[in-house]
Amino acid sequence: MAHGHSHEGGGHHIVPQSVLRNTFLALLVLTLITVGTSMFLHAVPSLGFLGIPLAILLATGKASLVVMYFMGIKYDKPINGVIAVGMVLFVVIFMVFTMMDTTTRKAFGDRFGTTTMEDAEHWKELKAREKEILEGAKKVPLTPADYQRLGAVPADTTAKQ
Amino acid sequence: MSTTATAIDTGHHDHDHDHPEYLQHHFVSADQQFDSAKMGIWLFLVTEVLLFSGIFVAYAVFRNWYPESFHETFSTLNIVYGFVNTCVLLTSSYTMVMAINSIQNNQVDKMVNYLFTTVALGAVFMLVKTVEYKEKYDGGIFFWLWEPHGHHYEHLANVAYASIFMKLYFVATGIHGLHVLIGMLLLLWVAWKGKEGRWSSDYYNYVEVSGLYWHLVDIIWIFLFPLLYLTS
Repeated sequence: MAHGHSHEGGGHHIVPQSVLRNTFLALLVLTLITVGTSMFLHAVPSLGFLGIPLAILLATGKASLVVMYFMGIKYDKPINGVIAVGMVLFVVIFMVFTMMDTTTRKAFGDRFGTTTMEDAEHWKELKAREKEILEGAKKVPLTPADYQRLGAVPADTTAKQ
Repeated sequence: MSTTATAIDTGHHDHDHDHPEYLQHHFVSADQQFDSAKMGIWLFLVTEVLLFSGIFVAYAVFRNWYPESFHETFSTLNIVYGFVNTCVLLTSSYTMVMAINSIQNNQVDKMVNYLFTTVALGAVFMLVKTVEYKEKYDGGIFFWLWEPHGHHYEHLANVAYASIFMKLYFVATGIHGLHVLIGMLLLLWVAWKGKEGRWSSDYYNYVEVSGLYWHLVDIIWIFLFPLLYLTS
């Protein structure tokens, strides 16, 4: 039965125990490196932008080790490898296209027009109105100091206290 | 091809029946049955990854929109819990491959022991997770709960959008934890059937495919750990 062809590289390839053990040790070392880099980046905030890329790189490395040796894709039929690579591709498409949308939305937060140009025009109008309102707000007296700054003496400040 | 070789082999084996008991009639050979099961599980794993990638995409979008909020909220998670659980799951993946290695060498008892160890490590993972959830719950934060209080969590009440990160944390680790739980039940069943002598080096399809599922759950955690606990 299966004994005869168990080493032909089909479904029944036996991965040597030393390979499994070394993979496990490599995974533990990579985990320590992940925690180490995170602590290092906490200490050096100016390099903080490296946090996410490094974490994803290390996690991808660990995941690749699991897929190749623990899940046996390295020794498996090529079709399963194609499925695994396709899976990663789908996730990348999902992520990249969503981010392309959501990271560029803010510029047109208030959508009133129907075209990009109309939006931009409307955006300018809103900005101008906002400026007007904000400057107007500065002229509204709220505290006793505001009354003095605006050159008006409040009649009832003491009365309210 | 090995497929044809097996078909001829089983022909020779024929006495009372024309194929081994475990070989279902719609497969040409045991090898074909094994490969089909494996490919089926790989396709299932693709759908699993797409389920989790929805959560990862939500994480990316909200982190991009509210970086300050994420930064503030990260600090309430305890790295020690995350680190311990990472080591526990990696070890459980190792005992899982050792279980498969044992049955490939026809060592049934060894396989059963490794499977029970894997389940036990899964239980340790869930226990740590429970302690962690309990702490959050006591601080007024849970899946459906957002009333942060107590000195460790109360400042979150003043952080805009802080609940987004915490709810993402609960949904991500919750669905992951559910997978760990299902994996544990699956492996318990596989170990039980192994005790009954159902698996051998000729037929261990269920051990193999449960292992693939267990490793995927491990891979998901490999990404969740740094993204939730480390990259503030």
